Amino acid sequence: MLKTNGLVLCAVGLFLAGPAFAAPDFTGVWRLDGDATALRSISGKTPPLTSWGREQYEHNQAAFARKDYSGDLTRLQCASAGAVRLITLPYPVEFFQRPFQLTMLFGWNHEYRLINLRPTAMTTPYELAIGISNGHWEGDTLVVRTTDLTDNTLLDSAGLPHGDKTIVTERIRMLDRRHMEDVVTITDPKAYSRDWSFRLGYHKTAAKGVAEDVCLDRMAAGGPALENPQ
Amino acid sequence: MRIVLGCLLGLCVGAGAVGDASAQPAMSSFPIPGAASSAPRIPYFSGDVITPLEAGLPLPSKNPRNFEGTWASLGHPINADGTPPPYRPDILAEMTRLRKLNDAGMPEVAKNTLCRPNGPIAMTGNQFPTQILQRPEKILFLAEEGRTIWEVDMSGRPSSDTKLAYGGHNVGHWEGNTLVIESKGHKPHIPSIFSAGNSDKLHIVTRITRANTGDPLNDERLVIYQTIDDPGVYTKPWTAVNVARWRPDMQVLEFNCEESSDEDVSRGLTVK
Repeated sequence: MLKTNGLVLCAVGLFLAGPAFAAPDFTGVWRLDGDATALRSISGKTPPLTSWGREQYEHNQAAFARKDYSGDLTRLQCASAGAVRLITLPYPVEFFQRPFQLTMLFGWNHEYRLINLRPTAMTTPYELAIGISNGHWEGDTLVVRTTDLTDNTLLDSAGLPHGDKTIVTERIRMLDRRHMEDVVTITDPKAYSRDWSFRLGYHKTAAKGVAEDVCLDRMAAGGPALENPQ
Repeated sequence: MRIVLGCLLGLCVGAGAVGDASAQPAMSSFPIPGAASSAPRIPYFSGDVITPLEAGLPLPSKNPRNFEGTWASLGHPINADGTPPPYRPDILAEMTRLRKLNDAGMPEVAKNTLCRPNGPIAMTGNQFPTQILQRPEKILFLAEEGRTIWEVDMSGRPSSDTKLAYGGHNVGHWEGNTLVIESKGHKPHIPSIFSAGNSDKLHIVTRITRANTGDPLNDERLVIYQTIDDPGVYTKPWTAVNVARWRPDMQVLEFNCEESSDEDVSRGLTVK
């Protein structure tokens, strides 16, 4: 009887304790694999644009071809690149992880992004280029939902548009100690006829941090707003 | 909206604003926690910064070395001895010229100071929230205004990067429960109507300690002393002091000053 009761108590204890889970730690400085200037879906296709979306995209591409960046506030005047485009830029990004928040410090224009990991969602009183990001763990994958995005940014540097009700869902996970992936899904019925996803891969560097970058100083010195860092 | 207002108030402009305790207009002030009763008091920005917080908001850690959370300044930094900062005559003359223009309704700013990050002095002296994040090897101060990042290396093995930065290069260690940060390598700022600016010779030693003057939610403070040594701006080193309040009701939001048109950012200002 005593032995059986002991086993029962042990089982109850394990049940109450829950599965042993240690969230992965993304802390470190990462660089994007490859070039994400022009986003393609995971299957390699151009995203499924609506007629409005296609009109915007073609307009942007034609304008960029003649170096007209009036429709791209990021390239024109160093405005925030927005939640999606920021993670596609070829600059290092430092992940600084705490149990309640994952912070991304970008090597472009001293931008940072805060991903709330607390159970209570963060909100914003007004829309932001970078939106508001709330995340939770599903096993070893961090699932991040970003909402409240302004509509005056682009999804990528090739001119992909987005509407004012865009929702961005990311699934971020470590592939091994030195590689990470972020599978990003765009929900935006104004610009895209259905949800679509793209994948970004990152590799970890030995850097201790990202150097300060100030886009306006670069432009004041005659340089471009966006450039490939050394 | 908050961003444009901030820029109109000149809060987008370069390095920090330090008040002259003797020149402050009559307004409420508060004592510096832990300082002698004869020490100067810090003028409040405005009465609403001391509004009681809603019950039930998170309390800070009981660990006095844990500063993690969101804070905002209660007032303008002042010289700890109560006298005006020891400006060089040429710097004082330029600040006086700019202040006169401002008082005449013609504030002037330099274009290359708009929408730039602040330095460590400014970040510890403004009402926008600052979030502090800590890991053993690094402490981050993320200030909403100017989208300013103050990154403090705590590893004892700092980066060898020497490129001048608005946030400088910062190395920290603990002395008891006081965080001591040594900062150098700052990008120069010219004087403005709000600050004396800094040269690239600026060297700051910051000492930050937690203090609680009563209620665990409403009276939690960070006391910040910054010894400023900059022969390009001041005739001798001096120490600024300010106090920040625990603000779990605030969150750091995106500061996208560059999104505003030149017209919006500079409205009401003469931009040179």
